[in-house]
Amino acid sequence: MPQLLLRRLLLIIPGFLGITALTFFLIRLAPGDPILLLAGEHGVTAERYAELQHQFGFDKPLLIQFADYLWQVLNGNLGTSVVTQTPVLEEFGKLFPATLELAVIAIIFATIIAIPAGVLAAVKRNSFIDHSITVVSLVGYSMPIFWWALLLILLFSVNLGWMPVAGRLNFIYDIDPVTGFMLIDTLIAGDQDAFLDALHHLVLPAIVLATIPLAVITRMTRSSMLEVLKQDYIRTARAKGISEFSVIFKHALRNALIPVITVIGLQTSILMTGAILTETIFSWPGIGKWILEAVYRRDYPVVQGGVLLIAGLVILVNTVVDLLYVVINPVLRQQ
Amino acid sequence: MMKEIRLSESLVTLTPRQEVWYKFRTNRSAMLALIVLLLLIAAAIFAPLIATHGPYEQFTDTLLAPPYPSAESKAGFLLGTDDLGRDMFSRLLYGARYSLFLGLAIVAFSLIGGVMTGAIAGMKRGLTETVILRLMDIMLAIPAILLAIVIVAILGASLVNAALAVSIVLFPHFVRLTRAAVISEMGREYVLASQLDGSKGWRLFFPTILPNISAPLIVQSTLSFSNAILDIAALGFLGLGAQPPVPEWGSLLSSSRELIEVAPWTVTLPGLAILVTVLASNILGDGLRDALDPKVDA
Repeated sequence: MPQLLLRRLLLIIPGFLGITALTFFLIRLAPGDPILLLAGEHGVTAERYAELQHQFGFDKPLLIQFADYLWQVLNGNLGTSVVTQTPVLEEFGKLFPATLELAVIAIIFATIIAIPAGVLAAVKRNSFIDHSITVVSLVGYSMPIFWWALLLILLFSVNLGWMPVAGRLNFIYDIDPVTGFMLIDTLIAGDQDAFLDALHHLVLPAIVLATIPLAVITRMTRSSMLEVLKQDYIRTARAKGISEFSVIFKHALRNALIPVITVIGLQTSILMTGAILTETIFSWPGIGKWILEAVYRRDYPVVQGGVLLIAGLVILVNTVVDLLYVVINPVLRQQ
Repeated sequence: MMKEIRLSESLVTLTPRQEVWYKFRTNRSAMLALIVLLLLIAAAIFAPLIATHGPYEQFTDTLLAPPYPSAESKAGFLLGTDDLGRDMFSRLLYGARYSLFLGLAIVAFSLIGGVMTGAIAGMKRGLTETVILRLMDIMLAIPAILLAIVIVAILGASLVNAALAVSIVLFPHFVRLTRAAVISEMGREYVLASQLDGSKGWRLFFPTILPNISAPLIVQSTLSFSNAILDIAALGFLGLGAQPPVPEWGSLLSSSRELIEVAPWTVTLPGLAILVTVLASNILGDGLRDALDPKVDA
């Protein structure tokens, strides 16, 4: 097993290298000069243009620029935003907690509903409940979440007025960003009203972001449970006279959860995709909205660094999930 | 006894294709999904005949008319009008052309490219295979919409570029699927027989291997079709795909976002169209998988 783990860990390196190369060269293919774009309508003099080109390193050969970039990335320098003049890593660090908070709440919400729903559907196979759960999860799986977000806003914000439409916190509260997680920061500040307000702002975006993972995890739990319930050891457990509750939750679910945990881990990519749409609609100041705005402004370093960081994150989480799979699966553990 | 023999005889005479069709036909929800999709495609093809108005025609005296049945509905505007007085029903119909045909084109594009790349990886093995697979892993590590957004940002925001971006995003799935299927077929006797006959390369792949790995590819194509429609709509919604006034469903949603309070139907209807199409092709994909998979018995 140590060899397996080591091999898997070493695979991260070509992955990161490849993504750095891909993002770097993709961005360079883009038409539109970032300096002219930055200068706007006024334009720049030829001298100033050359100066800026030199400052950003745009005057060097492409391969040298890539080597420079790679070296800088290895040193933790992801470049500076052309628009705000802030280091990309610093901007990412500032905005990432907002995305992480939303994503974590969404995945917790999805999991605590999806696993019981999947188990229920499998246990009551082919019943009305099973069919309803299957249909609902299929609809959730097929949902265009940007539309779903608008529907929820229409119902809960516009018609009923229960939910705020945008942002993380009402502007009347002034909370110091200690951790960047609004729920934790408001608690640190000891402001109960602000905490409730932050929670209030989280509800709709979290539901939207949770929708697809919820459907995927439900489907996975259901099919995994159905597979496990067919096994001989379940029949043995029943034959021993163990209560049905114990058979399902102790014997079946524990084994059925192995692939489900993997699927939950693999939602990172879906959550990041969802974050771009969700954050844009709810004006949530996270990395999804940040990177989309960078695309609109052709802010190359931000797009480059942002994609690199997000893809790196996905690779990292997927590796951890793979390793975890080996650790929790008794069959693989013994090899 | 006699009866049993007859039954088994009649089963034997079913060709594999008939058997698949039989299994598929008995799946009611999959059949329904197929019918819905065929109706949608027919509606898209015959949009000029069905539509009550032109998709860009503006009726300045009937702005924001609600759909039927409502007291304020205007005669002739079944699903109401938007803020420029354009007929929603006609715009949605023409929008189906963009979503469905683009979806088909995207899938065809990434299917053909993906199958050929995957076949090369699976038949050549060695360094070629490793390079192709690593490249696909890298593409898969970037969240789909994000990769598509970056590609569109580079190529420029237009419907064609968005379609190209989405087919690039879907491409790695076909490559990996084809490669795995080709490798599992390569050792089989029928492939060996064909190889002994002297066929290799594409002459081995297209007539001999491809028909035997088509089942997973068909399922993947159906599921990719729904992803293509979702992604195209998402890009349109973000202003990176179809540009107004083109009635593509995603860009319809994006331009009616500000109307959500005054004319909610301009928001609900395009999204509903997307959902129904995506849902139908997902159900169809599930049904095809059940029918084509010899392991799942009906």
